[in-house]
Formats: sequence, structure tokens, C-alpha cells
Amino acid sequence: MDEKIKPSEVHRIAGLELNLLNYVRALPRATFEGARLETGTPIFDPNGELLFYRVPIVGPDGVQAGYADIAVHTVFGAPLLAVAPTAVWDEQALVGEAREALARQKTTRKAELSYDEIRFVSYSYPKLAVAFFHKGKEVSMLELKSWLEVPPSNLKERKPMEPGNFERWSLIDEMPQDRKRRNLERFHERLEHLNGPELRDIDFSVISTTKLASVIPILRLTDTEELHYSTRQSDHHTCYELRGQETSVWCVAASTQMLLDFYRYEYTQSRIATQLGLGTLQNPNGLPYARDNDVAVALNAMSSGALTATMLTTPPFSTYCDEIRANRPLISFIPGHSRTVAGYTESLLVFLGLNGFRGLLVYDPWPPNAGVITRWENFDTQTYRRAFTAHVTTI
Amino acid sequence: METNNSRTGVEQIAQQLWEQGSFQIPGGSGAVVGQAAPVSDLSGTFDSWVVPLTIQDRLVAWAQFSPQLILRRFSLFLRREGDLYRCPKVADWFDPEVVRERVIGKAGYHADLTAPLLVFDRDPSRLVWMVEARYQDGSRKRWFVAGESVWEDHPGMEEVTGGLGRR
Repeated sequence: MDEKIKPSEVHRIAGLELNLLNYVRALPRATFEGARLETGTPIFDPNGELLFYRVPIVGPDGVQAGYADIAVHTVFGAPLLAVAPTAVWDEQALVGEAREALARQKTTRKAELSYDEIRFVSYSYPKLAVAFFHKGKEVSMLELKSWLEVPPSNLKERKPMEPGNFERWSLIDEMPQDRKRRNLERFHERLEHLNGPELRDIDFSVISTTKLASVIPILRLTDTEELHYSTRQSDHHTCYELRGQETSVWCVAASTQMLLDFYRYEYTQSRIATQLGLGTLQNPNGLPYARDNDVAVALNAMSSGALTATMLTTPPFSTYCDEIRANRPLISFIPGHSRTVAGYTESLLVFLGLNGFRGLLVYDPWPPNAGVITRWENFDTQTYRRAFTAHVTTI
Repeated sequence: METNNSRTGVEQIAQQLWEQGSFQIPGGSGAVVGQAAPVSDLSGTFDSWVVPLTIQDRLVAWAQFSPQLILRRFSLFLRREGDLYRCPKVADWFDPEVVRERVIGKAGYHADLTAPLLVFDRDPSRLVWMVEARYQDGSRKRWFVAGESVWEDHPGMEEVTGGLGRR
């Protein structure tokens, strides 16, 4: 995957993100409705790579309404970095001030500094500076507004990502590789949503609710996660299989089978039923409420102690999210029935005080000998009695 | 409440959700939204609506809505393209006559059967058809049918996950 988005894309992404925020009233509508985006200023990392654009926003009355920072580099994990309503960004004025500040330094130097290029640099993200270059070589870097010379990096004497109060450091170079990789995946996931066919051809250079009104019902603006082969998002999914319950009362056995299968412990439902005391195929029975915890015990026993299982009572939605993010399926007991959970989805947009949709991806062993994959079960309309989590026992 | 108005309403909502892509069926883009069927609890009190999505004679998915027409769940039988043959037949789930025939196969021709009623067993997600059989000796049995599975229900057992306590 590419680590950057094209600068030509930045304007469109900025417009789209701001339109979405405006649509859900996260921005002051009186100021932003009808506002348009100006040409952005490129901001560089100290290592020379393009980091983000600062895009001025001009209100419908022609007065600057603020600015937005839109990432070019995937190191941030999301394209929209910040919106500063009411703040003013005047690139030309700032460059002018920086030139004057540099000129004032002449008196303290033996030789006059000459330069042929000026760049805005995020010397310590999100702090900015103006850097002067001559034939590609930096001659000075002045912190924005204070116009003090920015000292060089002190990386040799400190840990990465833990800079002093006033020194330059590279977000791109110092971020740990695994975090960079995760951010890259998240960034591209977001871009994928924003580049969906329903949005691709709309001009978002003006912020307006009417632009989105026609497409908002079909947008999938959600936080969604499913089990994968591993916690790497790039790995394949869905790494999970449905098992229909083999009798009308063996939902617990089928659920236990699905979870054990995920960890490559292959048992028949009859064998699991024996372990749980659920009878035989010819004479089956369910699991009395008083023996719920037997499921946790069975998971541990049937993995020879390799799985540590825990029973939770009426767990909140966040428990399911946390487990799925850790790439672990759950067994879910609702009144009279058992299923497994292999994913979740949550609407990221909240309209007019109403909660967004929260759903679970349920691998349901019902109906017998078939089962269904429920995508999605409305979390707010179901009663949840128990959940069983299991993780690989570590030593 | 179960009314013709709410039946039309729930079918329209299901159609809308299907057309706008809120319902996704892998390999099932040609699915058709069918007629909503009311679901009751075991006492016959209306509980919810279930709306089938079908391809030819196969049931590929269904959506279940509350009486207030709020989506409770959308469930898939069709798991991947080419697996249509693994999906249950629509008639197995939505034709009361087929359900009745299945019960006759278990209960025998001599039993007097009530009309099949789409209900749920324990949780609204466990849809079943219920048929009561009255025998010549005066005894009664309650039969459940879920797709091709038929079994006799034994009510009044302790609280159990799945159904039936240890006997």
C-alpha cells in the first residue's frame, strides 16, 4: 500500500470530511454552510517528506472561517487531522513575517544568509516552523510566530517519540514500525470509504448539507471489525465458520464447537455434548442456567488448558468490540439460546441526539442443521445474558 | 400490533434497505424481497415481523423487525456465491401446508392438527412453526418445525439454554 495520498486528492478529501462533519452538526453551521476551501499550504516533516496540507476555509460572506489540516502521509492513521474554526491561516503573511525575522538576524551573522526556497515544516508535530533552503540545503528554521531558531534533533540522547520541549524531530522516522503499519491500514480503510462509488463524483469544494443529503442513506460510515487470520487488517477474513446445531437443543454445543474450531481444536458436537452433559444425538438436552459456567470449564479442558475462558454477565457492547479487535470470538448467551459473535459494527454518525446503529455479527447455530449468519443483530433490541471470552493462555 | 398497514410498512422498509445496500448478501444480488410474515410467542401474541429474501425457490436471507418496525436482525443463509443449493427452500419456511405435511409425517395421519403458527422458541431469533396435535385418546402434543427439522416440544422445563433440561 502507498504511504501517501496524491496532493491532487487532498482538496477533495478535505471537502468531503468537512462536509461530513457539517452534516452531523459537528461544525458551527451558520459559519460553515456554504463555505468553500482555498488552496492548501503543504507542510513538511523535518525529514523532507510531505506530511499534510493546511487548507483555509472561507465562509459564504468571504471572511475566513478557519482551516483544516488534511494528512498526505499515512503515518497519521486518518486523513482529517484537525479543524480549527475561526482560526486564521494566511500563508503569505506568515512567510512575510518569517523573511523579516530572518533579515533581523543578519546583524548577528558574519555572512548574509541567502535562500531560494521556503517551506513550512512541522518540526515537532503539530508545532510549525518556516524553513529556508539554499540549493536544497537548510540554512535556517524559525519557529512560527516566536521566530526562534529551531534546534537540531537530540535523538541520540533520548527515546524515539519523546522529544524535548524545543527541538525538531521527525514523526515519520521516529514512529515505531508496527504503529506505522496499523495507521497505514486505518488510513486506507478510511480512504476506501471516502472513495466509494456513491461519493466519487460529487464536488465537495463547497460545504453544504444538500450535497450529502442525497447520498447519506447509502453511506456506510461505521467502525466495523471482523475476525481475521491475525490482528493484521491486511490478512484475510472471514476466518470463521458457521456450525448448525445438530439437535434442536444443542446450541451451546454448536457454539462451543465454533469457538474451538477457530483455535483449531476440532471436536464433534457429540463429543462436546458429552463434555457439557448435553446428552446424545438420540436423547439430547440443553444446559441449565445453573450450569452456565460449565462452558468456560469445557473450553479450558478441551484445549488442554491452552485456552483461558471467562464467563461475563450482561456484558456491554464495548466488551464485544474489545474482544473482536483482539481477534477473539465470543460465545453469547441470550435467554434460552446460545450463539457466537465474530464481529461488530457501530455507526460513527450520531443524528440529532439519536444513537447510531450498534450491531453484532452473530454466527447463530439456529435453525438446526443449518444455522444463519446474522449481519447484523441490533444490539439495542436484544437481551444479552452471558458472554464467554477465551484467550490463548500465555506463560 | 399486527395490521395490514404495518405489514405493508415493514415490506416497504425491507425493500428500501435492500435497494440502498444496507442488506448485503454475498452472491445474492438477484434476491427478491418477499411478503412479511407475523411471528407470535407461544401464546399467540404478536411479537415481530419476518421478511424473507429469496432467489428462485431458495430462502437466502431474512430480516426480522419489531412491532415498531425497527430492524432487529438480518440473517443470511447464503454464505457465498455458488452455495444457493445449500439454502433452505422457501416453502420449508413460509408455506404452512409444507409445515403441516412435515408434522403429519411425525405425528401420524390420525392426529387432529391445528393450523401451523409461526412462533419463536425461547428467543425471537429461534423461529419455528408450532402445530398442536390432538390424538384420539385425548392426549395432546406440541410439534415444532424449523426448516426440515421436526421435533416434539416439552414445555414446562427448568430454565435451560437450548431447551429441555436433563431428563
